[in-house]
Amino acid sequence: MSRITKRFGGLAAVDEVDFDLRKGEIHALLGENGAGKTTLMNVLSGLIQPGSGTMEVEGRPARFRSPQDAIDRGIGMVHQHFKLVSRLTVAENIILGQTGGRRLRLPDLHEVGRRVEALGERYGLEVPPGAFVWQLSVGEQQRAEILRALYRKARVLILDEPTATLTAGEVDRLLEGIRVMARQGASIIIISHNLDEIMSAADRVTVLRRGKQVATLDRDETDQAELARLMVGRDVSLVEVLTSAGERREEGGEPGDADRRVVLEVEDLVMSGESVSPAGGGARELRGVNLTVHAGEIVSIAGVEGNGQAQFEEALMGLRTPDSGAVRFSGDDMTGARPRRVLERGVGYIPSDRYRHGLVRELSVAENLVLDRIDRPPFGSPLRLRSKAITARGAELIDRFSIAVRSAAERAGTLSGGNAQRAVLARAMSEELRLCLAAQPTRGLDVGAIEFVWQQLREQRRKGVAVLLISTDLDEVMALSDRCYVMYRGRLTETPLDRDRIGLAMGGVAAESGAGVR
Amino acid sequence: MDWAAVLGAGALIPLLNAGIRLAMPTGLAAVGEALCQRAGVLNLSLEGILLSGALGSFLGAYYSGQAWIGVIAGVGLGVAVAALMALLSVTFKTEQVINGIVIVLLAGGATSLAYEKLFGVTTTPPRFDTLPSLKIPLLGSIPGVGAVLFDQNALVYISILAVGAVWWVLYRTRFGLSVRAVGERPDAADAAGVNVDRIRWCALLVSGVMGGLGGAVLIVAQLGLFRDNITAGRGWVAIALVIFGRWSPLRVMGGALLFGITDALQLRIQAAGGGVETGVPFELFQALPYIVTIAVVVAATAWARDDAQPKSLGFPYEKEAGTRED
Repeated sequence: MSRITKRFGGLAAVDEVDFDLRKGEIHALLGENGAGKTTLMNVLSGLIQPGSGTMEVEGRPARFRSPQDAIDRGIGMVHQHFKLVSRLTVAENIILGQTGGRRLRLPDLHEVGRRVEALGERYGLEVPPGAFVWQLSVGEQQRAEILRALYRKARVLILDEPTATLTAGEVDRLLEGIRVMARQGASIIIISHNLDEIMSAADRVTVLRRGKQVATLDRDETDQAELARLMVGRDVSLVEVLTSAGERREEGGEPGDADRRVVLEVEDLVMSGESVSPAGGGARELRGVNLTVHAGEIVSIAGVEGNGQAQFEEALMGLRTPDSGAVRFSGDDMTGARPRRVLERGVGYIPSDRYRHGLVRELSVAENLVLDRIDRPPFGSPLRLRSKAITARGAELIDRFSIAVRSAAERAGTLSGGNAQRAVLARAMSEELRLCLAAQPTRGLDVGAIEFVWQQLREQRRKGVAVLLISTDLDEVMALSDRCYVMYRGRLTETPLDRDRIGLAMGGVAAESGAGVR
Repeated sequence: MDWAAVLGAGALIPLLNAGIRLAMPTGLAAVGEALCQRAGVLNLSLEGILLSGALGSFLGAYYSGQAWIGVIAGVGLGVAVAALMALLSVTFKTEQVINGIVIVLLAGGATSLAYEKLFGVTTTPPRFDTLPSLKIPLLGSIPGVGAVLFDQNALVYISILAVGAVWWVLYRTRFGLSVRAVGERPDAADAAGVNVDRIRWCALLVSGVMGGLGGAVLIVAQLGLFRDNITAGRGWVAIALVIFGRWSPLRVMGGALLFGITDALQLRIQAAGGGVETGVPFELFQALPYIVTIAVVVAATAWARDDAQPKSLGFPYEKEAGTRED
C-alpha cells in the first residue's frame, strides 16, 4: 500500500501512509485510539475506499470496491467487533456471502462443518461448527472469524485488536495459532496497542500517529520504550505517565480516620438478564455482589469486559432493578431507586457508554452540562427553561474543565471523544458529591485526556468523596486505586493491588480457588 | 338458526375447503412480507401491493377474458409497487415506515381513479366468472383430505407451491442465508461479501410477486369484480400475521389459515341466518377474522420467550457509518 489517504469530513484519518507486508511475517500496526489503524485496514479489506493512493497484492495492482474484492485476492479481516450474525450457526456464518460451488442452493453444511473442524485442529483454534454464534464465548467467536478467513483461503489475515477482550489463556492460544499460520506461509497483520504482545509476537512493527506513519521497525531493533514514545509522540512514554501517576497517588495522603465512614454498601446483589446498553457486553448476570466504598478512597472494579460490570453499573444507578440484594448510600436503602433519586443523593455518574448514557448529541453542550437539573432553578422550572442561566453555567464549566468547543451552544455531537468525556465529568463533578461512579472513564481517550480524567478523580478523592472506578484497564486500576475488586462471571473478589494477582483473578483463577493462589 | 349446518361434522369439510381458499390472498402477502422483513425491510406498502395486484389482475382478466393474463398483470403491478418501495427505502435509504404508508395511500387513490376512469360509476359493476374448482385425480378422491386440499381452483395450488418455494428459498439457498444475515447484521453480511442493497431489493421484489399474486387470487379466483379498497385491509392483517408467525413463513401461513377459516366460518353463520336471528349486525361478523387475528397476535407476542424480530428491521444500511472509530 503506498500513499494511502482517507478523509472523513475534513479530517484525514489516514494521511499518505505506506505499508508493506512480507510473506510469512507477523506485522504489528501500533497506534493510539484514533491513529488510523482500523481505517487503514478497512481500506485494505475493501470495506471502505481510499481517497487516494495505490495498493498492490502479490505484485499485481489492486483496487477493492467491496470486501468481496479483497476476499477474492486472499485478504481476510477479523474485526474488533466481530462481524458475525449471532442467530446463524458458525458454519452458516462461514459460508455467508461465499461464491463458488452450487450457485443457488446452500452448500452441504455437514461437509462445511467437517472442513471447519479440520482447519480448527490444524491451528489449534477449534470451534463447534454447528453451534449458534450467540452460544459462543468471545474467544470462540474470534476463532470462528479467523476460521472463516482461512476457509476462504486468505493468505493475508488482518486481526483488529484481537486480544482486547480475551483472557490470558485465550491470548496465548491465539498467538500460538497465529505463529503456526505464519510458519505455513500466511502473512498476518495485528492491530494492537499492547506493547508486550507486539514484542512477543511480531516480526516488524509499523507505528501510526494521528493518521500519519511514524516508523516501520524490525522487532529486534527496537524496544517497548521506543515504541511507546513513537506512539504517543512526545518524550513521555505511557509507562512513565503511569509511574508518575502512581507516585502522585501517595502525595494525596490518607484522609483522617474520622472520615472513614461507609458511603456505599452493596449486599448480595443478584440480577439476571442482558445489559440495556449494546456496549454492555451481553448476558452476564450478577450473582451475589458484595462491596463497600468509604469516603475519601478510590475503589476499583477490575476485570475483563462482559463479566457483569455493565449490569452492576446499571443496577447501582437505578437504570435496572436487581432481583434481590441491597444497595445502601450512607446507610439508606436505595435498592432499585430511580436514577433521579440516586443522583439527588450526591452521586456523580460517569457512564461507560458516554454517548448513550452520557450525552444527548442533539442538544447543545450547555444544555448537556446542566441536563440533570435542567428543570430546577436557576436553570428552569418544569414548564420553562432559562437559557441565559444555562448558557452562563455552560460557559463556566467549559472554561473550568477546558472543554474544546467553539461555543456553549454547539451541539454535543460535535465533541471529540476526549472533550465529550470532559463534558460528562464537568456535569458529574460540578456539584458537591458523596459518591462518584466512574465506569471505563478513559476508554478510547488519548494520553492527555486520560491524565485529565485521572486528576479529576484524584481531586474528588482528596475532597473526601468515595470514588468507585469500574475499569478494564489494569494500568488505570494500578495507578488510581486504594483498594481493588475483580469482577469475574458476575461476582466480585477483593484482590490485593498486585498486577499478577489481579491478572489471575481476571482469568477466574482466584475466584475459583479462593485464597489458595500464591 | 341451524347450528348443525354451520358446525356439524358434515359442515367441517366445506368450511376447511373455503377457509384455505379465503386464506390465500392474505397468506401469500404475509409470507412474502416475512421474507422481506427477514431481510430487514419493514414493507408497510403491502396493502398497496395487494390492491394494485387486485386491480391489475381485474383489468388483465376482464379485457383478455383469460384468467392467467389477469394473474400476470396482477403480479406485474404488485412488483412495480414493490420496486417503488425498494427505490425509496433501499436505494435512497429514506424512512421505511413513511414510504410504506405513502405508497398505500397512493395505491388506494390511483386504483380507484383508474377504475372509475375506465368503467365510470355504476350500480352494476362489470364482473367475470371466477375460476372453477379443479379436482386433482386420485388425490382429490382421498376421503376428507382430498375434499379439503385437492378440490380447489388452480390458483390455490399455485399459491401453496409459492408458499413452499419461499420457505425453500429462505432456508435452503445462498440467497436465503444472505437474507437472514442482512436483516440481523447488515454490516457483518457486508464484510462477508454480501451486497446488502441488492439482497434487500430482491427481497422486496419477492414481496411484490407474492403480494401481487395475492391480489390476483382475490380477484380472479374469488370475487370476479373490482371496487374501491377491495382488499379491505388484508395487507395490514398480513403484516400482523408476520409478527404472529415470528417471522417464519410456515407459521405465518398457519396464521393466515386461521384468518381464512374464521372468515369462512363467519360467512357461513351469516348465510345460515345467524345475524338475523340474534340481531347481531353483520358488520360484527365481518370483523370477526380481524378480531381473532389481533387477539392471536397479541397472545403469541406475549407468550413468545425469545425475540424473533430481525435485529435490523426497519433500519436502512449506511455503509460507512460506524467504521469511523478506531
